[in-house]
Amino acid sequence: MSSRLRSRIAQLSANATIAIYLLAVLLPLAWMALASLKTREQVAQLPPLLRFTPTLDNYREVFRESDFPRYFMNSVIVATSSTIVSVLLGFMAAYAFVRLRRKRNDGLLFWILTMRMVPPLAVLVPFFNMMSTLGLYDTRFGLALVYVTFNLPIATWLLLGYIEKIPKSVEEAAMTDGCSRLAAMRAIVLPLAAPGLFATAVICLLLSWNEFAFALNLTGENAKTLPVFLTAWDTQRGINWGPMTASALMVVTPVIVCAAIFQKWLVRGLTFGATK
Amino acid sequence: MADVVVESIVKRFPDGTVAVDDVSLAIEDGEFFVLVGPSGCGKSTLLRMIAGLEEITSGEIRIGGRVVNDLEPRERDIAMVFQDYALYPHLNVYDNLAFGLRRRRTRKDEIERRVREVAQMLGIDTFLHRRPGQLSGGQRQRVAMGRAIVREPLAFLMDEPLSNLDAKFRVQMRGELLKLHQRITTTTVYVTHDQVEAMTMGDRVAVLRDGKLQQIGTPQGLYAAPSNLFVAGFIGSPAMNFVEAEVVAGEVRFGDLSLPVTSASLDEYAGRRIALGVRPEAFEDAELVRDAGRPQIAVTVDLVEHMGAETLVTFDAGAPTVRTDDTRALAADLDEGEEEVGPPETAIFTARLDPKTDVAMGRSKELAVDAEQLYFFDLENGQAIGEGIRAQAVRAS
Repeated sequence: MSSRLRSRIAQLSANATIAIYLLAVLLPLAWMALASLKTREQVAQLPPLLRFTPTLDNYREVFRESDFPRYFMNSVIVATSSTIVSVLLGFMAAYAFVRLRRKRNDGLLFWILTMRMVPPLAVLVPFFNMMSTLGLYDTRFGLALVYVTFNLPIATWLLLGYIEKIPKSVEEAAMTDGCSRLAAMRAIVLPLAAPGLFATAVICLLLSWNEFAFALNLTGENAKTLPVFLTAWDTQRGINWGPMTASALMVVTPVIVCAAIFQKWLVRGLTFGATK
Repeated sequence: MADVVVESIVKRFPDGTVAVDDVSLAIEDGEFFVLVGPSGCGKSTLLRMIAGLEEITSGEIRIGGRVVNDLEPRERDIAMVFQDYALYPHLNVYDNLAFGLRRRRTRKDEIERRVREVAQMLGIDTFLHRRPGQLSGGQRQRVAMGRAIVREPLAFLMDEPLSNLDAKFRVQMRGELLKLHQRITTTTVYVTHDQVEAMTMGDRVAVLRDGKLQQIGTPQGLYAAPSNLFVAGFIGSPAMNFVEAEVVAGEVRFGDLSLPVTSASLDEYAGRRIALGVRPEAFEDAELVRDAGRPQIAVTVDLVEHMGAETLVTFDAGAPTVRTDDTRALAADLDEGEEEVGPPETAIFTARLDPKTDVAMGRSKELAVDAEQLYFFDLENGQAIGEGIRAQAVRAS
């Protein structure tokens, strides 16, 4: 077999793998999008109807029958606030690990990561008790606080890598140029770590936006978030597919848009050209 | 503009390593002062302590008469040029230069004026809007210089600023830097591991080894009167030749060879072994020397290298090489990162001869030796013998 043929086969099989993967990811999304535009009878048909007259009835039903805007706002507030706090604290923690400790204390770093290894359900009951005692049950603040505890370890670990890549000498140059350590961190490290901050923010945002177990158990009607709300269409009389797919589509759209916007920040490194 | 005084400075790291061991320097206002030594000798640590980037274990540093031990880098009014340039990658050249001035709340039109002036002086005024990533290594180097100059600080601290440039460009920048210093005359402390850079640039040079100060002097002073084996071997290229020799009345003997000595300071070493140092420049083809009074030695030529302006001839001195801590440190510096070969048992000498010389490998040759350029060192402690006399002679000349 010639090497050219071999590389063609390698190329083809790589493409085929990607195609299968994309199908697996995109088909459910496509089905969901189509189903949200169908009537109750059309949704149930097998194989799925591809040619039909779309209707927005399901969307109307979502807004008529539920408090969708409120749950949406809950999700937005809880996810963004927990993300901002996690990224900020994670940045400072990572900075301290990289720059202020002579030896990197891997024990402490690992311990931080174990916070994330705990299965959420194992700590659900104690969390529930704490939240009730503190009067934080069914509050957006309480839920955001819980998300911070779970996102902070991830944020710290992700940012560690980005900050390590920033040459120490650039910061030292800023310090001889008239910056205090804190000012150098703000003027130099923060902008240079921006791609990392964005990447970390996207991940924290996704995790908080999609989180279900804690949201289900730590909120009632007041602070209910979208993932919990979606289950409301699974009623005693069966799953109400139309409104459920309509709501679900409205839940995933912001996430996709967000990732698309940040994408260019995720791949671009800013430190290029600092040294040598 | 200010003088920089370093007094009994010690740097001990938490793990116990002593990077700088009781070093004192008095750097005069406007001086171009070079710290030189092999890697790991503490020169960079010392510079970073002057900058305030490294804490001082004990001792005192004064810049312009003010004790700066407890001042932060930004309060010391010094500017540093880093080995890797350390430009701000997210700012363009103009903002890189203006950064320090803005931090010090300089007036906007004043910043504009100074940045443009310095940029013009360094020839970087045509790409002020570009970011460091779009510049070549040499251009980045200039920006790094410019960022220091524009601040008009009390002193420049430079940490091997030319070591990342290729050899040809490095020589060019060396000259530019010297001319620049003549114009600006700001006190400069310059760190390098390259003795050629140290010799060509420094008003005065301090040689460091293992955190200890070996000698301070003008380049000519260090070359003519090295205070110990290490400095003797470190300064000068090709390096000084060393061989173990025996002092016999009025002579030093090594292998089958002997050279007459006049120095009275060797008298107390009569009958003992010493380290003899001979600069490659001290040799000359006997046929080309008019002064017939010069002592001559007959050697068998091992290797001939025609350099054009000079011819380097290598021969076996027929006596043991000098092995002390000093020479081992020198050897380690030379083949840094290379496989440990170990020095040959007998000393190999290099002679630097007039290119008109007629030599060939394997043939024997008569070499005349300039007795003025013989150096003697104590084998025990590596200290120069009769150094005082030589140093006086240098000062007088």
